[in-house]
Amino acid sequence: MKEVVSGNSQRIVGLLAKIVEKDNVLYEPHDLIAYSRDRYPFLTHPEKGVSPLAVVRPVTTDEVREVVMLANKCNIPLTPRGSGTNYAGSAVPSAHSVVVDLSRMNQILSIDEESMSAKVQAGLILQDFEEALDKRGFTFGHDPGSFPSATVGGCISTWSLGWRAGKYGDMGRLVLSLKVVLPNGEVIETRSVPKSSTGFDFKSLFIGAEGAMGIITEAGLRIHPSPEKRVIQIYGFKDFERAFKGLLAVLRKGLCPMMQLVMNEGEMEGLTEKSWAKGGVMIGYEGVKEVVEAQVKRTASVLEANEGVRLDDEAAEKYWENRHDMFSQMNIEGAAGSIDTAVPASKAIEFYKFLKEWAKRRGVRIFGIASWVLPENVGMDSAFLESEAEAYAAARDEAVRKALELGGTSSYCVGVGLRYPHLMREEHGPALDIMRAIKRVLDPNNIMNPGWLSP
Amino acid sequence: MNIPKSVSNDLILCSRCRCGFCRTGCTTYPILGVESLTARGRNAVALSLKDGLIGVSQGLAERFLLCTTCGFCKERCPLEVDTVKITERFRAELAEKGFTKPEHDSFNKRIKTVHNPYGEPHEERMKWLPSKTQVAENANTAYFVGCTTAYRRPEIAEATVRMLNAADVEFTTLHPQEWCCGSPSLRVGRRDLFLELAKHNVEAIARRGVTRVVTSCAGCYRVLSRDYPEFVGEIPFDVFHTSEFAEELLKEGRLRLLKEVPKRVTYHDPCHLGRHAGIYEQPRQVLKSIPGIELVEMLKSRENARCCGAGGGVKAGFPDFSMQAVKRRIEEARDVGAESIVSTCPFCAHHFKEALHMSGSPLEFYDLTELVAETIE
Repeated sequence: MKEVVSGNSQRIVGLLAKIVEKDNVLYEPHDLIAYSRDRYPFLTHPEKGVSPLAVVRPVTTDEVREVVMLANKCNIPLTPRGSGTNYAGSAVPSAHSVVVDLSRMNQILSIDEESMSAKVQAGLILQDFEEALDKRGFTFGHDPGSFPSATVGGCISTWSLGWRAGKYGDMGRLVLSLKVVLPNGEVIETRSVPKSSTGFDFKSLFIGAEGAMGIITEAGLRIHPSPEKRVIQIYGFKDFERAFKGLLAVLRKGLCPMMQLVMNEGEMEGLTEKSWAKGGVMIGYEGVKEVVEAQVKRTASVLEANEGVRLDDEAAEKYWENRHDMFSQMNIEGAAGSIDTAVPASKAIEFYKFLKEWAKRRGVRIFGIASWVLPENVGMDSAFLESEAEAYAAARDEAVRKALELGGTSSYCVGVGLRYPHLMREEHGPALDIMRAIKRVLDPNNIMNPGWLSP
Repeated sequence: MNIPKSVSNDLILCSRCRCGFCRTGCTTYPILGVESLTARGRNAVALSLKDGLIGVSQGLAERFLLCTTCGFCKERCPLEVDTVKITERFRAELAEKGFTKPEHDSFNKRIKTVHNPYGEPHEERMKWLPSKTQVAENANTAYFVGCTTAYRRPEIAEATVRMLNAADVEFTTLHPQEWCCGSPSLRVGRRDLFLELAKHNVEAIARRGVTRVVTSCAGCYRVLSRDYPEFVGEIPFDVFHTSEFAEELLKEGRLRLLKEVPKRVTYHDPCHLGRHAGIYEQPRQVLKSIPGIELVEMLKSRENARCCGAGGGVKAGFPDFSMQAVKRRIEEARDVGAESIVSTCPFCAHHFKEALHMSGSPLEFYDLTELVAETIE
């Protein structure tokens, strides 16, 4: 028979302290309130967050396993957390839950230079990983906006995407293997090879699952040689449409940029003094010097043939240096809101035109519209005041629905979290029921980050 | 709570953004891993406290006190949120309510009675002064020694006066009117005691007709040049740290560094000199001017330098943690193959030397002035 002790935080704290060291259980109100939010933009004040019953900070997979077993026994929901930098609210504690803070599990377990792979714990911060690899002549290559603080486990759980993904792929593609504590306490570890034909790709169940399928404690990751050379350039175009077509022409030549960004006039503001440049393509390559140089040269000829004019390299450099900070800086005028929608590349211009008209009609104050990393990804950045939050959410849903109508997705890298549960039926149709059925099989007591996968 | 508007605005900004970019370079968080020990987390706690969501407790106060106020968070913040100011403001509010560390109370009591946090006799403040040193009765320049240099790292004081003498800088000291600069008190929230000390020292300096104060202590430099003007208004003298003063003397050709010092060294930026005062280049220039010195940079240096873990009352209040922090910094120096760590702060020096001694590390530690003194003789 289940012991239901929900709400009895004192008892839970006592039980958790039998699993981990006493200092690794937090329960005082000031500590709990610090874990009550992630970066979901609607939670602008701590009063809007959800303080958990307790926070547990395991240091081994075995401790995680015991915490999960305890949660099952006591019917306590668990909220796994890395650095809490998710924009969708997927690391916001479920009501009466225990936060499992993985950030103490931040070790690099091994670096296998021959296999070009590494094994790390889930709480490792990307920047720390990159610095350690850099010393040995390697790079991980995953560079999301939250690179200075995001953890490996968090990036896997949100299936994140980074600035350099054109060359290295998204976070999912960089994962070779996973060690996961399943919701029933069983620990599984997938094979450390890039692919296997013995069954479906089991590790994929945990990539982008926002912690609902288990707790990732370790990951085998692909690493790459540090690039000999990196070139980032910006080309100005008369408008977004021309810039986007210029980029497609580059891709159609078979060129594979390390990074690409197509910008509209809002995004171009302040980047160049050339007022005619209402659109732009920022494009970058890295790798072996001669290859990079050849790619840059060929790209220049394609973009120039498509009415592109190369702008100041200093502007590109400055933009690149500020790439992690820019989202934070959007919070000056209100809470930074963005949509990370994707549509088939052939529908990108149509969606762009819709966003322009939509922003005007809905009164959404947008900084700009851009296509980032993949031509399919077309989204916008904006800021909203507290008084506008409701109107912003309604407007955002309209834009997302348009992307879905065009055959796209509501989110290419942030996740569902508290943001889009109500849109998942529209996005997935009957597949949503299958996802939920899988969740029920793995997590019959519904303890793992209960949310949109647990109706 | 009496929280200034600028502090409240910063709290709101951080609460809106919550990027957590302050995590990796933080002195405390990477070691202890508690969210309320990051700038982001502590700011959330501060806002919650200010707006009445949570109550005050000793546990909460210690979240504010377990921070070296090294300023990495402020430096890294994309929104330039001044978490050092926030933390110190809340420390002051909490101290007023009686939430302090007993160790801090003890050193503040000693400062009040004998004018230094170590409880050493005030009359022995100049005990280190070598008899052959030329100290003027009255001069435009005063050497502000500071408590840690005077009582714990006298070799820095000796080297400083040797350097000043070698460059023919006529200088005086403020003794017996030099009291603790007040840095330890201010950093742990005792603004009242700090104000008393600041007023006394400013008055003592002004009374002596001194127009230029040189100090070899990064902590003293920070308060003399930054906090005194904020607390007591315009000060009638210029403040120089020995590293910038030495660089000036070198430029003017008054200081000649002749003797070879063959050492592979790395420079540790003290927080109060680097991030708090923006002095990064001058000490490096002086080091590079010393014949035989090979300067190698640690991975985290200048604006990104890791704190040694001693400042902000942490060494006194949380000695075990403080030792963990400095050991990590020593590892970073070893990683780049340095034989010696050089810095420009007696408090960093005291902490590094203690850790190097305890761990039996072969690394040496020098204050910049010691190397300068070695090369002029």
